[in-house]
Amino acid sequence: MNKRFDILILYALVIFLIGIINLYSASYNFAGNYVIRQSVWFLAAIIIAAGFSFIGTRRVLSMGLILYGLSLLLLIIALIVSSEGPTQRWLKLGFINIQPSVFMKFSLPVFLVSVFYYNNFNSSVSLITPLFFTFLAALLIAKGPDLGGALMLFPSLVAFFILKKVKFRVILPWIIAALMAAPLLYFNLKPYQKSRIMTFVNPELDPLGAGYTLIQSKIAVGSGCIRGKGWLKGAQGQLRFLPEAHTDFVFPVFAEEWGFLGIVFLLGLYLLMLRRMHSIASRDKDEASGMLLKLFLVTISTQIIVNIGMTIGILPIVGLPLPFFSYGGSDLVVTVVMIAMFLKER
Amino acid sequence: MFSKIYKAFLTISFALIILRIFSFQILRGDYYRKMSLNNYLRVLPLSGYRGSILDRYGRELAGNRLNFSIQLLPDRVKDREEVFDIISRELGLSVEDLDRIYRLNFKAPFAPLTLVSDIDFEKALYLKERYRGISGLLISDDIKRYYPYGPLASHLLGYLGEISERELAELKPYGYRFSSYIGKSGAEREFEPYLRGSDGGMLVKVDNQGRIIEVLSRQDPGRGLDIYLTIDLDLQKKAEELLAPYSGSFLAIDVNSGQILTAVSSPNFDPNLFLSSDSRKILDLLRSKEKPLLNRAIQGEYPLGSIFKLLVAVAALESGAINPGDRFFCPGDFNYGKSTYRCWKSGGHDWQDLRQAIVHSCNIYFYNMGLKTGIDSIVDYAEIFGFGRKTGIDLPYEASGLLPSPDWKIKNRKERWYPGDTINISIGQGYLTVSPLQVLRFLAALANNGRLFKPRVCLSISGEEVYAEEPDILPLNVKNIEFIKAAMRDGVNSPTGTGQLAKVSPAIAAKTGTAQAVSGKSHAWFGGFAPYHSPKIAFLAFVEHGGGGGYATARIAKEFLTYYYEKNQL
Repeated sequence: MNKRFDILILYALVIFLIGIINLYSASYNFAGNYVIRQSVWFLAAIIIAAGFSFIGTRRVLSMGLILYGLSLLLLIIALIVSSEGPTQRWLKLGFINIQPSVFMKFSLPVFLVSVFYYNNFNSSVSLITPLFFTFLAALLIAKGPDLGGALMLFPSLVAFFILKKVKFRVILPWIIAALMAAPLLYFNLKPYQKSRIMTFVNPELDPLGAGYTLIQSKIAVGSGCIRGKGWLKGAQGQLRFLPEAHTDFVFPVFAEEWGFLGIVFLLGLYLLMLRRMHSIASRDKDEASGMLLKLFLVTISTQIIVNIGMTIGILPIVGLPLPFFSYGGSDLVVTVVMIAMFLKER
Repeated sequence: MFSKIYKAFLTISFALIILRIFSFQILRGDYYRKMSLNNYLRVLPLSGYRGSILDRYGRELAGNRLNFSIQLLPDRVKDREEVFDIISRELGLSVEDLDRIYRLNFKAPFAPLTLVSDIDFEKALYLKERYRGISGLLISDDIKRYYPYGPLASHLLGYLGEISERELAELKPYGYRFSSYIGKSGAEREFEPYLRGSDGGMLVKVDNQGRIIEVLSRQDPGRGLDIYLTIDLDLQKKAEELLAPYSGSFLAIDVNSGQILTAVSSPNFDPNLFLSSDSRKILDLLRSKEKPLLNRAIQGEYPLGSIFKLLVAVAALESGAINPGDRFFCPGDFNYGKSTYRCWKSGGHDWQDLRQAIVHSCNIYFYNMGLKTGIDSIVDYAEIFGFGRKTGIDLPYEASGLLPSPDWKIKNRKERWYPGDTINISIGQGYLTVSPLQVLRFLAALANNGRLFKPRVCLSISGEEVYAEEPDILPLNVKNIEFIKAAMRDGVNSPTGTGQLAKVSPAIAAKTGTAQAVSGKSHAWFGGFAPYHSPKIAFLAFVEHGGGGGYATARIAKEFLTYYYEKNQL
């Protein structure tokens, strides 16, 4: 096979193009040129990804502590700078707004692998450092408030423990501790976050309020039937019944307009992409790099599953973009960089 | 180890997702399609325009006009106080009133609620422009019923109101909706099926804010049919004016067709009030002690007094109990059994024949004549003239009055009929009650020598003449009728007649009536026909507690007839 080309590029590109076409429809009635902005971000992402490719996985891994520290700093700055606004998820940098939580999604796996690669986690106490740094980052993100972004740190932590072959009985005390702390955490959630969890349990509880999004999302998906209503013809998206149609709820727009056949095609592409990524990560001759790729793989996989899962009511609604589909520059950059690192390690 | 777990995780997750989507899109796809349609398809009803109600010459008494109103969508209003403040500032209404109207008119959070109606056009445009950003505040325009003459002929025209639950249950198949307006009384009610325009509607596509994105189809609303009444607006106006100071009624009918030319009930009301958003004004009308909503002309039931003597005279002559020349002596009172019955003139009328007795309205003569004629004959003739039952006029809620008879008394009072009862009814007192319309019809039948028309107020429906029933030809001797008519003429035109205040030229024929009321002053009646020589109209003036029939009512009749003569150059 040609060394310069990998089928992974094709999968990612096709998904991104479908995503652009869908974004066009999802933002058809909005002012804001989302398609153009997303495309510009994509180009920027490729340039940044090329930079990371040039640096190389090894050297990226050596920068684990710095990346983590920088990401943490960004989070803290974001919290301080925009503490007056209602949400601090965004860091406004003049003409662009970046979402620092997304960078932590990239930095934490690098940090975990680079710092703890040689550690032996054979006692519960030995887990305390990776747990501490993960929770610290998660807490800052959750304070954002960005519950989805915070939760996205944990799949890579779990995957890291599995890869490190940490015994279940070693983790168990922490799980128990976490379960005991859970109610405490729940009371610290913002009211809207609580109501999202409540309405996940029963959306009819508040059909015009918190349950509205889920109901409209289900209607959008369900009314797509087998063939869909056609591009630009989805009433739920076009008539704005579906909130956040261009970001977190971009999948229902696709489901409504392309139907079951479209979804099978899209999910198939995602699966092929993930399978290819998995095979690259598994065959990596460098064990540490392979481990990092696997953490990325789990992160991207989980994000796809959680995003789609929340739009169809099998998971609670947390703000999370669908990779390559949702509008959002920061997330696109991070996703593309991750993919690039797979291509580098092929 | 990792690969196994990862693959399992991925497979299970994707399988769950695809199964869930399969169930949404394939198994329950139709359900969600319908939900989606419900989301964005709305049927907006477009109310039909009501037909007009016009007078006999085509002058509009009830029509439609464009109405601008302020409506609120309760569930879209964020800050109700702010909205009230704005309206109060712009239209000079108090916040308390607005709050009261809001609470009165509130039906459901999603149902538009009319707060203020009848805003003028420029103000409406200004408000629409200025406050377009206020959520839940609508400046809407619609076609609204309008009565250009306000209270004129209000009882005849009737009024509209929102459909009641009972009416809706019955009328839903005919396209009536929750909050449809429907005729509640008068012609508006009687001719509802003709007046009502066919409703139209629009199928529209709306977005999540309920804004119309696209009109998918439209059925234009239709206009109802026009009702031409038999009323003459000029005569009606004149009569309303004359009766305004009193509680009572004035009626005029074409004796040759049974068409009602004038129908006044006083006090009247402004039917426009029933369409205002402030229902307190309606409640005030409903609660008023003067009962302005009662159509005294057809719904009122009153003792008649001496006009009934004409009927007793017909019965006496027709049954042969009395000849016109028979005389009775009137000493001023009349003893029968243990009771004493009086004449209205304390000194008595001396010897009277029938003509004189009618002219002078002598009670003693009629006591004697009534006893001689007998209650059965009196009841028989009262029945053929339609006393005690509805005339069948084309208006709702007509009263039937009460014609007492021996049978009636046994059934309802558990008592036999006494000669004293006959004495009372001979002068139109006792149990007898009538509606002014019944009396008018009786007078009209005398005027045209015994042809009894069914009175009617509808002349034509959108140019289509309505079928006029042939009159009943009453089995009467014209000579007897002519005799009574002449006596009525003398009652107005002789210097001793009770109705001389109504004397006009050409001569009319009429009879006064002064009926004892249950409490307070007597009711005053004055009815007859004009002109005497070739009768065209019959008329009846009635004033509640108006005292003697020869005064206020006679003057009203005189003024009315003077105007009628001028107008028709008689």
